[in-house]
Amino acid sequence: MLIDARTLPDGSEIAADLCIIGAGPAGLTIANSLARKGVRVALLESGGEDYDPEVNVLAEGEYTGIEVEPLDVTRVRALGGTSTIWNGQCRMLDPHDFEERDWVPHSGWPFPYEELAPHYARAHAAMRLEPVEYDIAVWSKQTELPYLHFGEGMGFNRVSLIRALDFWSGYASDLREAANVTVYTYANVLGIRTTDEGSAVENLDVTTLAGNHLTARARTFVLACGGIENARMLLLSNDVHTNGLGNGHDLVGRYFMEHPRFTSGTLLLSGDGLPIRNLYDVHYLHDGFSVRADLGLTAAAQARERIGNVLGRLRPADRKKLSPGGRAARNIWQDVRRGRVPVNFMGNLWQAISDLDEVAGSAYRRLYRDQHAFAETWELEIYVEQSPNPDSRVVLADVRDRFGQPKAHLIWRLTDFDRKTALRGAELFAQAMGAEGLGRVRLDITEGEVFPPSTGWGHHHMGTTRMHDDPGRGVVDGNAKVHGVENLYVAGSSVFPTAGCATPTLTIVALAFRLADHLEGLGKGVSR
Amino acid sequence: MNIRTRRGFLAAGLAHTAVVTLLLSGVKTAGASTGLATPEHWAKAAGVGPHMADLGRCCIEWGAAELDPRVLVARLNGALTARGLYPDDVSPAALRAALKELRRHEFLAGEVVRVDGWVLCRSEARGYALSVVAAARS
Repeated sequence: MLIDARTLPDGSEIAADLCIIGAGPAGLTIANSLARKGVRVALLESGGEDYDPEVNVLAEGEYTGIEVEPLDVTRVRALGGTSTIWNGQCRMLDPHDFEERDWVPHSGWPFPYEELAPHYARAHAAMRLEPVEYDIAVWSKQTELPYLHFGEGMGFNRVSLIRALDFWSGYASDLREAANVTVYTYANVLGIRTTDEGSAVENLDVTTLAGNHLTARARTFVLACGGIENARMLLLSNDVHTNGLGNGHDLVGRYFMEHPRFTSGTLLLSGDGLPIRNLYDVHYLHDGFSVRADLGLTAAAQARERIGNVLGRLRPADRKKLSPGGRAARNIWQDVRRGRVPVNFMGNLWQAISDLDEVAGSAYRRLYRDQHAFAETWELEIYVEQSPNPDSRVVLADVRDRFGQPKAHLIWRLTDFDRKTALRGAELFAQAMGAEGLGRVRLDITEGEVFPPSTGWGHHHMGTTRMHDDPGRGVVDGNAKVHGVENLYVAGSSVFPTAGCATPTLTIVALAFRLADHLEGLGKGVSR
Repeated sequence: MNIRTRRGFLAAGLAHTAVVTLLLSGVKTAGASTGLATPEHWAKAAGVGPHMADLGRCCIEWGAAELDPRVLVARLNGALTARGLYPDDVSPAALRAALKELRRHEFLAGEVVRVDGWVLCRSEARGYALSVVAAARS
C-alpha cells in the first residue's frame, strides 16, 4: 500500500512492527524481504514517486575540506533514493577488505567475506545482475572483446556487472500488493524519540511539507537514509543523549569515507596497442545489462606495500593529442627504416634493453593504418580506498533547513596513508604493465602532489555509523544494531568499517538482506 | 625535460633504434675527439631531435655514477647473472629473451626508477644511459 503522508490528518499515528526510515536500495530491500512475512512494516520516505525539487532541497548541506559536488546533487529524496540516478555499476568487496589489516588504521569488519557471500548471491538476483560472472576471460570469449593479459604478478583484471536498476521500479509492484507493508511518501522524519533513559526508541517525529505532524510507533526501527543522512539523523536525535543517539563514544558521523579518483598518468601500450572497443569500456549486453573491466592489484601486493585497495581505470587519451605525436613519430620512424640495424652484441643489447622501440614503432604504424580502431595511449585513472579517519566526518551545520533542523556539514579529509595508497598504487600499476611487457606508464603525480585539484569522488558516502562489536570502536554492532539502543538498526553504507575500492550498492543490498534475516529471526512481530 | 608527452616518449623510443644504427654505422659524434660528448652533441649528430638526449640525460642523472659504458654493461650483465638469467650463449635471440625476463623480474621486484615521470626498470634505464654514453665515445 502506498500512502501520501500529506493526506493524513494532523496528529495521526502510524503503527507497525517495523518502521524503516528511507526508501533507497537498503530500505526497499528490507521491506521487500519482509513482505508477506507476517510483520507489519511501515516504510517512510521523504520524497515521492518522482524527483521533486521542493523536497530534494532538504538534502542540501555544507562542506569544508575537499571540494565536493553539492550534497543535494548527489543524493535524491524519492522512492528508490539515489538509485534513481546512478549508473548501476556493481562489484563485491574483496575478501581481504573484510579482514583486519594491521597496516590499515581502524580496518576489519565484525565478520568475514564468507558471512556475506550468500547475501551477495541474493543481491545479484534481486538486482538482476546475471549471469554472475566475474572472470574476464569468460566475458572476452562471449563478447569477442580484448583485454590486457596479466600473469601471476601483481596486477589483474576486475569485472563489474552493470544494471542501473531503479529499486522502486523493481520492488514497486510487490510492495504495493503486500498487505503487510505500507509505504508512506512525503514523510520526513525530524527525530528519533527514545525512552527517558535513552535505551530504546519509542517513536519517530514525522512531518510533511504540507505542515501536518505525525508520530510513527513500532517495536523496531531501521535507519536507512544514506551515508550522510544516517549520521545526521542520529545527531539530530539529541533530546535525551545530548551528543546524539548512539553517540556515547563520539563516533557518529566520524570515519566518513569516499572513493577519491583522479588521473594519475598515461599508459603507453606496446605491441598493437588495444582496440578502442574493449572490455575496459562499458559493453552493453542485453536488456539494460552491461559489463566492464578495470585493473586491480592483488591482495598480496597491497599487503607487501602496506597500502589500501586501489582500482585502475583505462580511458583512451584524447585523440586530438595523438595526432601531433603520431606525426613526429612518423618522421623519425621513416629515418630509422632507411638505416641498417647491425647484428652484433652491442646492437642487440641495445635493442633488447627496452621494448620501447617496439612500443614506438607499433604506435606509429597502428596510429596511421587504422586510427579509429586502436589506441596505444590511455589515461590511467585511479580509484583509491580511503582509510577510516576519525577526522573525516559529518557534523551538524549552523544553517538550518526548512523544518528548522541543522543541515549536514561534511568535512572530508584524506590522510598521508591515503596519499601513499594512491601513489604506490599508481606505481604498482606501472610496474605490473612493465613486468608483463604491456607498456610503460608516465605518472603525473609525485609524492608531494598525489591528489590533484581535479580529484573527484565516487558519490559513495560510507563509514559514518561504522560497524564494530566494541561500542568504543563502532556505532553499530555486527548485526547493525546501534550500541546501547535495543531496537534501532542502521542499514546502508554508513555501517561500512572500510570502503574497499568497489562501488558500494551491491554490498549495501547484501547487508540489507542479512539484516532482514536478522530482524525476521527476532521473532514474529520483530519484538525487541 | 621534453619527455612529458606521448610525442616525446615515442620519439625517444624511436631514437633509441636510431642511435644503434648511427653508432654502428661509424658515425662520429661531435665530441668524440675531445672525450665524452654531451647528450646535445650526440643529438645533433644523430639528427633525431632532443627527445633521446632528454631521456638519456634523465637516465644519466638518475645514475650519475655509471657514466662509464663498461660499468653500465657490467651492471647489466651482473643483473642477469645474479638472477641466473645470463644465457648460455650470447646470440641475439637468447640475449633478448634474457633481458626481457630481467625486465619482468625488476618490475615485479620494484627495482624501478622514475625518469621524467616514466616508470622504467633499472636495466632499461641503464640501457638508455648506455646509449648516450657509448654513442658519445664511438
